[in-house]
Amino acid sequence: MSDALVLGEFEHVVLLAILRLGDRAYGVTIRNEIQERTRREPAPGALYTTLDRLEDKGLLTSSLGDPTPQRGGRAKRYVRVSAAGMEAVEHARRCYLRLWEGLPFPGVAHA
Amino acid sequence: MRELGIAEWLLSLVLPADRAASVVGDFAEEADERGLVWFWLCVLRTVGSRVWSDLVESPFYLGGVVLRGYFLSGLGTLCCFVGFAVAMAPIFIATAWLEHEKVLTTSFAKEAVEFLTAVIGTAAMAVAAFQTGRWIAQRAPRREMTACVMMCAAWPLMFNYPSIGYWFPGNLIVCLSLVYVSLFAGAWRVRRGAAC
Repeated sequence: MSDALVLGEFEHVVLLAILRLGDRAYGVTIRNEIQERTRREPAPGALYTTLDRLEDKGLLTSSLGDPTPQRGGRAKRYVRVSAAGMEAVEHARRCYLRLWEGLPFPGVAHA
Repeated sequence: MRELGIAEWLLSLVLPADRAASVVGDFAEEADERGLVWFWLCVLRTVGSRVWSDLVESPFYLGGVVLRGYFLSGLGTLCCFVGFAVAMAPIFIATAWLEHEKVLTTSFAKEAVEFLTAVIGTAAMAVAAFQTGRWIAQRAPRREMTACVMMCAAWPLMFNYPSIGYWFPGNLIVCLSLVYVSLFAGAWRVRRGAAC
């Protein structure tokens, strides 16, 4: 198992948010998606550091969009999950499922 | 907006230029709703987070670079100081001669020599710091600003030595500021050259 495929908790959250957003994933939308889904606001520094780290690990690819006046003429950096990123997310999902398997939680319905 | 340019410059100290621009663009997009204070907090927290992340990822490597940089700056300061002192020797000799000939009072001559020594010492430290900044940027590309921040944190320890403190009576703040600016300027120059 490659170290790059082992995800930290926040890395996992970020990758899932990017997968949910598809082609619209960039800093602002990722932060909003995480906030909406997890009810927690990620620190901007942590988010961008995580995005850079995931890209360095080869789990993300990025491309620049067109600059817009609303952003002071700065381009959006769109990110996509790479094949290795998909593999890492799938690996994390399997690990979580194995951990949850057979775990009795009174009052909580399992999906 | 002017603040976008400043924020982009600040972020480009710790991020590649294209990433710094897109991050500032993200903050600018939300700044209309959330305000200028939120914008600047985000910029500063992103810089801080990046520096911390670099430090945590490779503490020993960066520590090694900082230690060698510290040694290099000390050696460079000494060499520059000797060089400047030799270059300004005629002024020292002229001051001593004028004092001997009673053209200058002893106290004035003493003050003049002390002032010149402080100026030479400060200039030597600034030149050495600039070169150290360049050296650090070559040894730790993309993490040079983190190394410079570590170096700045350690630098005041140098002034614990009374022999060095003697050269900068009352001017420690000015001297340290000059040294810090020179260090970052050296690193910035290499980074900018690499980006071009």
